[in-house]
Amino acid sequence: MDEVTLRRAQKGDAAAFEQLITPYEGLVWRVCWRYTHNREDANDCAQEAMVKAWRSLPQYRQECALETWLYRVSVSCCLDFLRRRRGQENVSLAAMTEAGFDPPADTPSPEESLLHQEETGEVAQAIRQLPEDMRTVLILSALEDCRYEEIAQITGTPVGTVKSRLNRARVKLADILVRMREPSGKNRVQQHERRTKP
Amino acid sequence: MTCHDYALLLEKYLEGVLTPAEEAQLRQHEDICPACAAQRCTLDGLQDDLASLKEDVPPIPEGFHQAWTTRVEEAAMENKPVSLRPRRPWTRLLSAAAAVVFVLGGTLLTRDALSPRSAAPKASSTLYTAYDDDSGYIDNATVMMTRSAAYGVEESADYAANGAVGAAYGAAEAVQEQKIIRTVSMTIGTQGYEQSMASLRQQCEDMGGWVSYSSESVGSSGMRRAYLTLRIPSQQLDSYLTDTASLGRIISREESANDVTESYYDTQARLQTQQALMTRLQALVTDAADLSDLLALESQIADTQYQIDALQSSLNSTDRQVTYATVNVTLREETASSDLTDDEKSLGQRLVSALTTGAEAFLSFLSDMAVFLAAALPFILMVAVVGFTVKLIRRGIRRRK
Repeated sequence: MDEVTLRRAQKGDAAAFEQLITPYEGLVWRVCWRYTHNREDANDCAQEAMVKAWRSLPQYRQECALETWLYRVSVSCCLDFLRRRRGQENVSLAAMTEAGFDPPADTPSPEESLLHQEETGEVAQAIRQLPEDMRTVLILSALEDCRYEEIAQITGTPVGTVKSRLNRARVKLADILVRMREPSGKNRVQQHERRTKP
Repeated sequence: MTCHDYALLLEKYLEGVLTPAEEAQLRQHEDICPACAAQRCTLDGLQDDLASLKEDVPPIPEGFHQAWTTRVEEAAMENKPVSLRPRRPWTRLLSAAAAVVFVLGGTLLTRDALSPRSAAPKASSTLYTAYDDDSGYIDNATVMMTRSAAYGVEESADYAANGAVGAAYGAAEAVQEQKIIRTVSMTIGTQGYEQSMASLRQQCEDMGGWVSYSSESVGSSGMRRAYLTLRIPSQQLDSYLTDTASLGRIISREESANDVTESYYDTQARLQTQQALMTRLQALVTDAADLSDLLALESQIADTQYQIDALQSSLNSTDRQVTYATVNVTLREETASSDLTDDEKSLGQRLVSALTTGAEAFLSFLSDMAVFLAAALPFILMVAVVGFTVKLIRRGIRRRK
C-alpha cells in the first residue's frame, strides 16, 4: 500500500482514494454478494460500502491491513443494509395486514420475501438463516478464506470466540440443511402452521 | 474416547490441523458410534457445498466502478471526508493532561476553602477571645471590670500629672519621661503543652497583667497550637520573658521598642493649649450679653471640648501601651523527636520524620482531592451530558449524510 496515496486519500483526495481502493473493489463486491445473493442489492450495498470507506478512511490508523479494514467496512455495511431492509419489509407488511390484506398460505413467508434473493441453491439459503454473528464468521472463513486472526480483527472479537462461533455455525448450518432436505411437504405444513399462528 | 472428545477432535479436523494419530482415533470412534460418523459425513458434505459456493460469485456489474467513484466524488465535493478527521495522536495525551491539571489544580486551589481544617479553629477550637484595644470590645465581664478599675486609677493619675505639667510647663519639658511601647513576639515549642499554657497565664496574672486574646487549634498532625496576646506591666516584662524561656524551646523571638516620647508630649502640649482656650471661652461666656455672641461661644466651646477629648484619649491610649507591654506568644505542642533540631536528629529519625510528614501530606492531599471531586461532580456530570448529547447529534448528522 502506497503510504503517500493513503495520506492523500485520508485528506480528501478522491482520485487518490480511487487509486487506493480500486484493487479491492472485487473484495467488496464479493462480500456484498455473499450477504445478499441478489445482484441489485449487492450493487447498492457495495456502493454504500465504498462511500462508507471514503467517509471512514481518515479514521483508518493502519492497525490492520487495508484489506482487513475493507472487510470490516463491507461486513458492517451489509449487516446495516439487511437490517434496514428487514425493517422496511416488516413495516410495509404490517401496514398491509392492518389494511385487510391476507396473504395466501402458499406465498413466501415474510422472512423469505424480504431478501428478494435470487435462487442460488439451498446452501446459500441455509446460510441466510444463520444468525448474523455465525453467518459473518462462516462467510469470512469458509468462503473468503480469512484466517482466524483476521476474522477476529474484522468482527472485533477474540480468536477463541471466532473459533467457537465458527464451529457452532457449521453445526447449525448442517442442521438447517438436513431440515431443508427433508420431504418438501413436511416443510410446507410446518411453514403454514408457523404463519397461521397469531 | 467419548463423543465429547470426538467433537473436540472433529473441530481440529475441520480446521485442518489434525495429526495422523488423532485421525486414527477419530476413525476408531466412528466404528463404534454411528451418530458421530454420520455427523462427520454431514460436515464433510457441508465443506464440499461451501467450497462450491465459494466460486458462485457473479462478475462485478458493468458501471459499478463508475458508479462508486462518482458517488465518492460527489461526497468529496460536499467537503468530505466529513467530520471524521483523523484523530491526532496527541489528542488523547492532551485530554489526559488536561484532566490531571483540572483535578490537581482544582484540589490545590480549593483545598483551603473546602478543608475543614481551615474552619475548625474558629468553630470548635477557639476557647476564648477578648479584645482590649481602644477600638475593640471586651466580652469577658470580669476582665472588663478589672481593667476599668485600673484605668480609672491611671486616668486620675494622668489628669493630676497633666495639672502639674500645666502649672510648670517649662520645667516639665526639661524632665520629659521617656515613653516607650514594647512589643515581643515569640514562638515556644513544648512537650508539656497544658502545663506551659497554664504557666503562661498564671505568671501573667501574678505580674499584674492579663490575657487579651487566646485561641487554640489542632493541626493536621494532631499537635495542638495556641496563640496568646498578653499584656504585661512594662516593668515586669524582662522578668516575665525570663520565666517563659524555661517553659520550652524558644523557636523564635522578636522584640521591638517604639519610642513615642516626642509625639506624646506634642499631643500633651496641644491638649494644654486647648484646655487654656476652654478656660478663656468659659470666662467669655459669663460676660456675653448678646444672644448671638453666646451661641457662637457655645459652638466654639463644643469644638474645643471635642479636641480636648480626642487628645486626652490619644494620650490615655499611649499611656496604656507604654505601661503594659504586648507579648504575642505562639505555643506549639511537640513530640520528643520534633523537639530536636534537624542537626541534632539522627539519620533514622530524620528519615522517619520525613516519611511521616510526606505520608501525612499525601493523605491530606488525597482527602482534599476526594472532596474537590465531590464538589465538582455536578459540573463534571453536566459537561458529560452536554458532550454526550453533542456526540449523538454529530453522529446523527453524519449518518444522515
